[in-house]
Parts: sequence; C-alpha cells; structure tokens
Amino acid sequence: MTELLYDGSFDGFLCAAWRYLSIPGPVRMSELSEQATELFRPAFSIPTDPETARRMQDRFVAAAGVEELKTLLLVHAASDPRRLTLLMDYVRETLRAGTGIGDRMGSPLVVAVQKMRAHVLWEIGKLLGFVRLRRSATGVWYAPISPEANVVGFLGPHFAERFPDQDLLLHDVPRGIAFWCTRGAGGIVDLQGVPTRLHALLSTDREPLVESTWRAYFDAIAIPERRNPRLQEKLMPRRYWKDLIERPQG
Amino acid sequence: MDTLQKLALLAASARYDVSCASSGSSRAVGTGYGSTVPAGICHSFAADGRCISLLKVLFTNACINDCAYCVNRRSSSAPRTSFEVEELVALTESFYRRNYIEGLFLSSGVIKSADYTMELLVRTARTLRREAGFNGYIHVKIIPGCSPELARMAGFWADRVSVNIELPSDQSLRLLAPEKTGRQILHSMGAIRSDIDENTDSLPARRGPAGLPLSCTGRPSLTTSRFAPAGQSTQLIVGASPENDRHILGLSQNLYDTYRLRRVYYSAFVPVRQDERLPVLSSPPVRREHRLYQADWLLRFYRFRAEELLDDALPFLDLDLDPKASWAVRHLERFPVEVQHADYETLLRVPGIGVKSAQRIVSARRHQRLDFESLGRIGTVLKRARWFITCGGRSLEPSDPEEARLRLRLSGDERATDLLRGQHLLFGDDV
Repeated sequence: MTELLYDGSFDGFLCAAWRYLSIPGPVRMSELSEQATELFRPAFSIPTDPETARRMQDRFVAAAGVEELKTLLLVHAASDPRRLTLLMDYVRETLRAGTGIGDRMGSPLVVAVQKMRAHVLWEIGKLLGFVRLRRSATGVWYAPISPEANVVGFLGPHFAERFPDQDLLLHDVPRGIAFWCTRGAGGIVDLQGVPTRLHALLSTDREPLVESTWRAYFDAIAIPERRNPRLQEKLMPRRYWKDLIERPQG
Repeated sequence: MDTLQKLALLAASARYDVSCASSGSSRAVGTGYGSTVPAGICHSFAADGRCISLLKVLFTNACINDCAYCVNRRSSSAPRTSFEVEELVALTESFYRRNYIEGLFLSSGVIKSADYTMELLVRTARTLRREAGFNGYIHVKIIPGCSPELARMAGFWADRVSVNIELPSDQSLRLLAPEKTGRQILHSMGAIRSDIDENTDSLPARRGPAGLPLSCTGRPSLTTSRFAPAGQSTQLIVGASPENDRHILGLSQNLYDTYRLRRVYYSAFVPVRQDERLPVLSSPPVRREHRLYQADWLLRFYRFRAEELLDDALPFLDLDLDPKASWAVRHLERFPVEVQHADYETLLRVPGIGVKSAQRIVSARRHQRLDFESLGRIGTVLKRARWFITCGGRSLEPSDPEEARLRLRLSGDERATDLLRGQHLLFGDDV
C-alpha cells in the first residue's frame, strides 16, 4: 500500500490524484495533518503545484464535465473519513466512464459519492440561513460558525455578493479558518495563531438591543396551538444552535 | 410602545398567515445591497416547526373588518398598535444585514379604508427599495377591495404579491367575513395575472450566487417578470367552514389553471375564540391540512388532476392514507408497473416513487438493468412501491393483492414512519 500525503487543499488533492493515477498498486490518500503513524509504510508527500492541479482538473473536466468537478469539490469538503478513498475510486471510474457518471445510480460507488455530495449541499443550504452576523465595534460584521464539513469557502461568495457594502468575517471556529471579505471581494484566511486577541474582541462584541428584538420576534411568530419542538429540531439540528441568536426550546 | 413591543404584537398577529416562502424570484438587482435565491432560504425554525424565512408582520393589527375567525377582528379586545413606515424599514434592514431573514412579508389589518392601508404597504415597499437600496425579498399582501393602481404599484416593488381567498366559498365568506366577497378576491387575482403576463419578457435564467455550487437549488426560470417575479399565492382556512376537500382541491386546481398561482396555502383553523358561527374544535385539524398539502403536491408536481383524487362518492381525503396511495389502491387495474419500461408519468403515480427517484430510474436504466437493490439505492421506498411494481418481470409480492389488505398495510407503514406531522412545511419554500 502506498500512502500519498497532501496538504488538505483541493489543489493538493488534484495533485495527489494526478500521482495516484500513475501508481499501479493499492493507494491510500491522507492529509498531512491526518497522517497515520504506522512506520515503514512508503509515504509520499505530494507538493501542491498549481500547474499539476490545473492539468488534473482539465483532464477530469474534459472527461466528465464541470458538474462532476463540483462533485469532487463538495465531497472533498465532507467530514466523512471515507471521502478520500471514495474520491480516488470516483476519479478513476469517471475517467474511464466519462460524462453521465453522476446519473449511474445503480453503482454503489456513485450512490455513496452522490449521498456525500448531497449531505454537504444540505449543510451549505442550512448554513446560508443559520449564519448570524453581528457588527463589532471595529465595523466588521462577524459570524462564528461550526460546520461539520469544510464549507466556509462555499458560503463566503453568497454573503460577499449579498452584502457588498459590509466587511465580513465568517469564522469557522473549529477549523481556525475564515472567509474574509471587504467591498464584495475576499477569500479564505488562516486564523490559526492569530485568534486569541482578534477572536476575543469579535466574539464578545454583542448587540443586545437588536438581538433581543430578534428573539422577541422568534418567540412571537410560533403558533402556540401547533407547538412541535421535534419538527423544529429535525429541521434545525441542535448542533447549530450555539451560534444562533434565537433560543430554540428543543 | 417601543419597536420591540410593537414587533412582538404585530408578529403574533401575523403568525396565522401561512406563507413564509422566499423562493421563485429572479429580479434584476440594482445598486444597494441584498439578493434573492431562487430556491429561497430558511433562516430559522420556530417552536411550531415552521420555517422562518421572512420578517412576517402586520403593518397594523387595527382593523375595520370583523371576520369571525380572525384574532384582529374589529370586535376583539386585543391591544392595537401600528408601525411607522420608517420604523419598519429600519427593522427589516437591521435583521437582513445580520442574516436573520430573507426579506419582508407585509400584511395588515384594514385601517380607515382598503386604499389607505394599501398605500401604507406600498410606501413601505417603495421606501425599502428606493431609499434603503434593499434588494432582498418582499412579499406584499393585497388588501381586498383596494384600487387596481395601488395593487399594481405593490407588484412593481414586491417579489410576490398575494390576495387571501380566506374561505373556500361565497356562502362561508358571507357568514364569516361579511366585508369580503369571492368576486372581489378573484378579480384582484385576475388583475395580478394580467400584470404579470404583460410584464414578462423571455430572459435567460438568473444564475445563483457567484461561485456557489448550488445547481440543485431551484429550477431555472425561462421567463422573468418585472411585476411580482415570484408570482402570486393565496391561502385559505381549512375547517372553519363546512366545504369538503373535493371542493377545496377543485378550487385550488382552478386557481392554478386560471390565475397561474405559484402556491395555494392551507391553514388549519385555529380556534382563537368562541363564536356561534364557528365550529367547536379541540385542536387545529392539522392532519387534514397535511393531506391537502400532499394532494396539492400531486396537482403541481405529479400531474394529477383534482377530479382524479376525489369525487362525489369520496369527498374527503383519506386521513389514514396519503392521497397517492389512496388513489393507487382504488386503481389496482393500473398496476403493477414494470420499472424497466414505464414512462416517467406512469412512474410518478407509483406510491413510494417520488419525483427524484422517478428521474433517477429513467436515467439509470439507460446504463444498466435495474434490480430491487438498485431501486432501493436510488431512493425508491420499496416498503410502499413493492405492491405496485415489477422489475425485470419479478415481483416482491404476490400478484392481485386485495384493496382492503393493501390499504391496511400501507396505512400501517405510514403510521410507523410519519412521526412528524406537518412535514410538508419542509417543502414550504418551493417555487
């Protein structure tokens, strides 16, 4: 078994996939940060090279189309530990089968990949609604989020387009990364190492008046005769509650 | 009263309005801030499990009408209040910029006259768009009896407009909402439809937010209208008056056909007061409401007609069985269906096969022969479909099941799985 290590970025993944296609035997792919501690196993650290990434991407898109590239992007962002193994098989299978692989729902591999893709899309859809921005004293609109999948990069452009006149910081707290955006343009920044002062400043800055007004609305809009906390929790899973302003009852 | 107190009162007064959808819009965006997403976005879920997408409020809960079923009727002793236009605009903006909401759903009690009230709603929408630079979603309720010019102005500022039909017949309106007439309501709907048609150009579908791989969110629209681009909807109250489901679904079918409504919403009557004109109910008829939504879904996405689902002999939807299964067990002569060959429309009529799994079956069988295992992976609910399909000539159940036995099996399955009543609200945000 050959182990390929890459830096965790999507470009890094494409470079690892490029190498993987030239290796005949069984391969395992891991992020550098997740490297298994087994000794004596051949492990190759694959450098992230934009040119190789582009070649892999072009080859893949030429074989399968842009929609399938989206599948790779989304599944790569999933938190499921099986994702890299599935993606390697998927890349090989796609290059063999060509366009329309996503429709081959009779194949267990395709079904597993599509399920993972759907789950990530589901979370993006939920978080587009659940993100709560607050205006800090610095003028920055700050939102802490704790997504299961690595989706802050998918969320960011939506907010950048929607609020072109707001400086935004969407902070994926568990991963220590953020989408930073000013005047409608931005990107991902690594907040590891920086956070203590900045985070303390942003996370303690609250807006009591507007927040209590929102909570009053949230409470008043429910029909008491139709109370259904189970449905509420099913549609808004508890793991998202801590970053909300309102207080679901559960 | 400060804004927070007003909001608590005017939101509580608006909560019986069902729609909170922010979907189906594709308006050209000008300068300013805000956007709409074709599939709509739910920002939270209230304690009743309903999606919160819009800031849903009444402009005022004072009202000159005296509708028997309404918390805001003239004769009620509820405390009254009203927003100022600028106050409501600022509130909408402050919630929107924090991503609490997709926009504003604005309705109102009627003060002074229909025109006076409608003018306030139009002014609010116009101020939001023109002065605040707001490009988020706006849904404006058309006050019955207001002048067509005001309704038209509302449609140019709003994404969606709606006229509530309230009750499913003229007799019930006369009895319970004496100031409203069916003719007046339908006339408003007809005018809105004409305005939408006149202002529709064939334009390319608007793309989703840049960079977002959300191709699954919403169907692209082929045309877009400058007037109420998200179309019109309505709602009616179920269980406050004696009309049967056949009558209600027939009405909905007619509204979809004639006025091209995007949605008809059904609201289980919540007995907020005792009145001799109203039925005595221990709780809102939510199961009946749920069945109506399922049947409505069949009209809009499964190519059923209302008259296929109910007739004189069967005027109410079956509370124990979903409307598609109920139709299927009454038409066993059409089954079993062979999934390798059946056309899309036939697949749609099989219990346990939804729109997505019907599409997947059609596309998967181009590449391979299907078996029951792959059908399961595709998303077919075999527990239900097994009674109605064959796959490559094979069947999972003996042929010719009796209607009565089948009914019992299917309703038992449903009871076991349908734990979350009102789940239609999951779909509350479609276009």
